[in-house]
Amino acid sequence: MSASIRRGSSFAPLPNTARGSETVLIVDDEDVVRGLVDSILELQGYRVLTVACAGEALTRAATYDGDIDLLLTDVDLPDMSGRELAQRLRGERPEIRLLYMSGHNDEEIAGYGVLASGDLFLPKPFTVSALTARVREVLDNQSW
Amino acid sequence: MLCVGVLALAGVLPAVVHLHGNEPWGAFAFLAVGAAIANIRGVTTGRHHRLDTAMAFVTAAALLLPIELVAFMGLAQHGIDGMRRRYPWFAQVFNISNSTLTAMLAWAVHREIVGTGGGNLRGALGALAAGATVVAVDQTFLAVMVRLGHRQSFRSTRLLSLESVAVGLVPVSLGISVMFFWMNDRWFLPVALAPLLLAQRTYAILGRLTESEERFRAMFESAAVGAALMELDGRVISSNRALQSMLGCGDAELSGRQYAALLAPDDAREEEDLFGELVRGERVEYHVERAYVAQDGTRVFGNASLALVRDARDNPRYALAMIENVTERKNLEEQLRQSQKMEAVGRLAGGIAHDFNNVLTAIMGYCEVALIRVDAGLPVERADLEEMEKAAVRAASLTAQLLAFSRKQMLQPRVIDANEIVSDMEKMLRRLIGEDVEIATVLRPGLGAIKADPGQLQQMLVNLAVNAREAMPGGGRLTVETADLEVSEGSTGPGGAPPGRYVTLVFSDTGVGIPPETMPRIFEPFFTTKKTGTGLGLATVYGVVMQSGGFIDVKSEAGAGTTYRICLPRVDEECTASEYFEPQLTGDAGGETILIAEDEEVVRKLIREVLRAAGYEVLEAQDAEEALRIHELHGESIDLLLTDVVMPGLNGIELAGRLSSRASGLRTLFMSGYTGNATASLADAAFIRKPFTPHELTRKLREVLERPVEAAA
Repeated sequence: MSASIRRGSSFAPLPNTARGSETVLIVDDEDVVRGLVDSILELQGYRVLTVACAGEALTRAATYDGDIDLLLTDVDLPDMSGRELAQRLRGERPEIRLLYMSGHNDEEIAGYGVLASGDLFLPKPFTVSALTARVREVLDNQSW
Repeated sequence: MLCVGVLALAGVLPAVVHLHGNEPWGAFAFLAVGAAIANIRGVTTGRHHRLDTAMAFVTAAALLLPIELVAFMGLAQHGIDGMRRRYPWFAQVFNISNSTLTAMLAWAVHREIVGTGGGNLRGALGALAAGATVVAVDQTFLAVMVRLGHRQSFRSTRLLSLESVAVGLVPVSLGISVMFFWMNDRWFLPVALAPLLLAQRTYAILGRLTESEERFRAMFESAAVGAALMELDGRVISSNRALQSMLGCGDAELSGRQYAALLAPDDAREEEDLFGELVRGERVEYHVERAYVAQDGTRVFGNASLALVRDARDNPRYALAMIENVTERKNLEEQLRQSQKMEAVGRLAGGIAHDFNNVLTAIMGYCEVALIRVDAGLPVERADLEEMEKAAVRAASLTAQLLAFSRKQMLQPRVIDANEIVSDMEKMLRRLIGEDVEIATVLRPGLGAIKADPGQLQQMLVNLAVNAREAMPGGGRLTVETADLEVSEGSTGPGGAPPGRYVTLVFSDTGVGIPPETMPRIFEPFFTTKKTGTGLGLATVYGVVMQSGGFIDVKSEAGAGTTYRICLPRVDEECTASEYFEPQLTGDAGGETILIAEDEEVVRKLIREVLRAAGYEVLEAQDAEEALRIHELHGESIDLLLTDVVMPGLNGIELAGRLSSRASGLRTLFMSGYTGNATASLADAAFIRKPFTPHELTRKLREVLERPVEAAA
């Protein structure tokens, strides 16, 4: 997976786009999406951990020393659902915030129990500004 | 045995009677014994006719004896038999009184006509009238009895039918003969009785035949399965109720019609062939499922078995069709298939939408980043554009897959070098498959040529590569090998390839492998082990291989990777030039003028930019009407029409037709993303399939421009 954006010569945050410095764990089995999200968030100042499946995510979280502020995961991963992964991670890191993304329609997503959970959700395809805005919104939400 | 007895008795009796002179008592004794024996030895001739031989004696008695003795004939006829068979008393009373009354009435009729004397004619008339009276009275009484006793209608007893009366007249006429011989020379009585016995035998045989015929008719008629008996030329002779109700018509409508004409037209031809083979003895029987057309025009389905019916000498006599009505089952199956199809389409749409959303996320994302950078005065990164391209290639492969799957994609087979395709695609595959998987290609130098659609072959490589990547989530190695293969006589190649020369493409990965229980289903459309897959990847690979006349086999071991071997027939022709990704637009444009007719604005703009960049003059029209107007203005300067096939108003084919009738030197290149009926008529015209890369477009354009005009249109 190539994180082309941050490899660029102009290593600077995108102007007029929400930024942050928290740590985000990105889980998506789609290379094209994972690469994009990884690059954008890193460019906008976040610390980014990127993995392709739930198993890797749990290992990564277990071995990572610092805080993980946000889990940004696809609802439908090859080895388990995004919601199941979130529940397991919450067991280890109760303070972690959640943002789901998916290319499925509402009905299918409902099947994964995500919408019912009240967690925030980002439908694919999304724009860079929608992604950065949504990430900021979840991190800034005081009710957590 | 009893016949011999009767015959002997009939011979002895006249002698005895003769001794006693002309006494009526002698005649009564003879006739009474005759009637009793005939009754005991009664003949059954089937349910609906009876040959009552005793009636011969009763008739003779009515003609010969005085009324006092005639009155005892009933008792004589039925007395012994009734006791033997233990009939209930009322049946005995009825039988005896029936016979008595019949005989007495006949006597009265005879006496009325003949009187005390009279000539031969009167005597004959009297005998005939008496005989008719016997039949009429006896059959009528019996009919009343059966009607009352068995609660049958008169008609169904058939006792009053013409046949029944005719049968009844046989013993009666024999009775008249007995009378005649008695009155003339009693020694001839046996001669009169012999036909009676013969008639008895004949009717016994006929009776058994009638009964058996009735049994088989009942079986044929009331069978739950439809049946039709046919002449050897296929004309229906008779049909049963089940078949009539299946086809919604009566026997009369079916009789005389050709069996094949009862079938739906698309089945009829094949049926005629099979029927011919049956009649010629080339097959013993056949079983087929057929669509029949019922009287009201609806289609009904039957499982038919046809066989020949042969006579005693084994010569074919008839053909018999047994047809089981399976319409309801077929309808249920059809409903099930339909619902499965709907479910599959639903899953397919969900899968495609999901994949598309991912691809679109990437395209939109990288685009947006590029735009933001441009707005901020920063340079656009090449790597971003590469990512965008990668995502777009995947999107294109999704639509191609859908089209290939629905068989709406136009095949463009060409003689190609598989090595060239693999090496051209290698770079793209590397990008598609990610950094964790290593790709190795082992290409046999001087590989034989194959004939296939290069686009489809690329599609196949992409699908197999994507599959391999998914089988190796933790990384691994994908090897693509090409080789020549000669399958010798008597052996088979991969996937059951028959002897011949092939080019093989072998894909092996070091992935998780395919579990044995999944193996039989991997090429099934919509079958997927992934939660979000479309299940079309390997089905498409299979389709491409089959459409290219090739063979495929798969070997896999859990944890030890999977190997796909594809065999494509080798051809001995020169490869035509290839057209794959090259980084620059090689057009060799000579400044020709191209007229573009395309209703999609984004596509039109892109083509315009590409063609201008390649050095062409470009005129644009958003539909056929505008193209015609532009052509009127610029006429001769236009060298080529590049037109979409499907457009609102006049379509591309009609537009090309009109323009080429105006300007004979005009070349045409058609383009379309959808190749339904509209493009079927394109035949050999120059055509480029959407989506295309700028390079593909300029290459194709050059090719058409450099062909002679006749071939270009």
